[in-house]
Amino acid sequence: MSKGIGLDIGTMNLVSARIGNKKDVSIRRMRDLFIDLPVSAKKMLKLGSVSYIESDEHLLVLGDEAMEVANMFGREGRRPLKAGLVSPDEIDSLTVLGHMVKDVLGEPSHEGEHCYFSIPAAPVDVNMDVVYHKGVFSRIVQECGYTAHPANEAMAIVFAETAKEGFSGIGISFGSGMTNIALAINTIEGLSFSVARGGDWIDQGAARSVGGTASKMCAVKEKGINLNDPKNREEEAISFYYKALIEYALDNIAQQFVMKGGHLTLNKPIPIVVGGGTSLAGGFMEFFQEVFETKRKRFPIEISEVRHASDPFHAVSKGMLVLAQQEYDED
Amino acid sequence: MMYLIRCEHPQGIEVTTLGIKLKKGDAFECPKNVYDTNRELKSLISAGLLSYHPKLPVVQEAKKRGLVAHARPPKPAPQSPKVIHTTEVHHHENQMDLDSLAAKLLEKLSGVLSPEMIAQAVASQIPQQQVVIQQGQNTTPQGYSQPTDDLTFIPSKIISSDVKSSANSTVSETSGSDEGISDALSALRAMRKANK
Repeated sequence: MSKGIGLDIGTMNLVSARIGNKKDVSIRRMRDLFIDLPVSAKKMLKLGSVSYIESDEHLLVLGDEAMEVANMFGREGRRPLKAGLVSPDEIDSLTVLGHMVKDVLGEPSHEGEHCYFSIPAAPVDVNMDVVYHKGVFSRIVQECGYTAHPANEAMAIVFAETAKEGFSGIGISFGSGMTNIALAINTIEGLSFSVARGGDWIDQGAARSVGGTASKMCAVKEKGINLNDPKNREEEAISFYYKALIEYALDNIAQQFVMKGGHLTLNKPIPIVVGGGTSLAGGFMEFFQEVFETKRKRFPIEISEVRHASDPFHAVSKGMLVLAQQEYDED
Repeated sequence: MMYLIRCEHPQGIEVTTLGIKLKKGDAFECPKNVYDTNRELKSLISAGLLSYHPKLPVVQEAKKRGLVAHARPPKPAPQSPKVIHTTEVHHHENQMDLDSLAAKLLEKLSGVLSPEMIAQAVASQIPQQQVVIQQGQNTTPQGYSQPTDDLTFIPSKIISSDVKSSANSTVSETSGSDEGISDALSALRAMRKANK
């Protein structure tokens, strides 16, 4: 097993990436969700072959199974992260979060193995910072036996996907809780920020518009949707919100670049590389390209191309893995 | 606030601390802070040699055109409900032309009051104006700047060792080859070498 591990801490999923024995990339994923049940439910969980952990007179079901169990009990699963950061409503669930991370990371290959994990940039549209979030996950990763290195989420996409451009480009990670954006020139982070809108924002907006629930809209999305060819009112509402999210992200890139990117010298056009689970909807990139073309003339950065990451869902964890591997190159 | 001080003594009087000579019936305007701190003035008033009255502020009447005009506060501009604003309150002194104001006052009151007194009175009457600046968070540079090492409480032991797991973890695992990562690592190595 190669040394170094990358970890993508997302609002919807925790994903780790490491190089395996056969030089292939091993990905471990867990849905960032859990449900607590009384001890009396133990028998039923055993009968259903559902994995659980026992903690403080409670049974905790983690990950994808938690979603199934929540549906079975007619309850909502609990999400320890909200809008990309440790949820203030779930501060008591840090222990659960710790166990999820431990499960996803597995045992370190050696004591203090380097682990790069994703941290969002501070959002520009809500009054939040990432200090606590970063501190909590640094502690959790350390408690798992690793040396913790927080790193910018969108920069991970740049590291994973723009080698041929000399690690220059704009990485956009469309996540569930937020959208992260970074502009890099030759590996150097020139500008990074996040906006507090992502897949959850789409679900909530579409649900309000057509009178459904956010989880129903999420299910519609995950079932498969073509944004360019919506089949019903729900899908149409979702595609409207997708378009609004893309416009919002592009407008913010332009605005932030004008405000703070004046010092950056871009000698040649750079690509926009898009990743993240929210970008997996059918037709997303055509949709993105279409919206971008309407803004290209007024866009303050010359863009060479707009492309999807080769593995959009795992791009962040793989970018983190690249960074972690570098720690051993320097030895 | 101002007081109107009038001389009631038939032979006139001199307020030495203010350098003012008054005949019966003469009056001058005195700022409240001067009045409050001047013992001589107070003793002359209590002796009945001077009288004082608070000077009422002049209120401009609303213009009437047939109907009574009501002063209505201006309607606030409609705000987008989604934009979160922070409010910063700064105190600024009113930008008045003090020189011209002082010159005019001096011209009118030079025979009655000393220039120092007038300056003091003018200064005491300048209102403190509140200027409210509303800034949208999405346009403030603060939103971008990553807060540095602030003191933050992080629990010391997050992963509890008391937790018992029923079975294997619920993590889904996949593996496959990825040329992208090795390409990225090679490119980074090459860049590093080139920079050395």
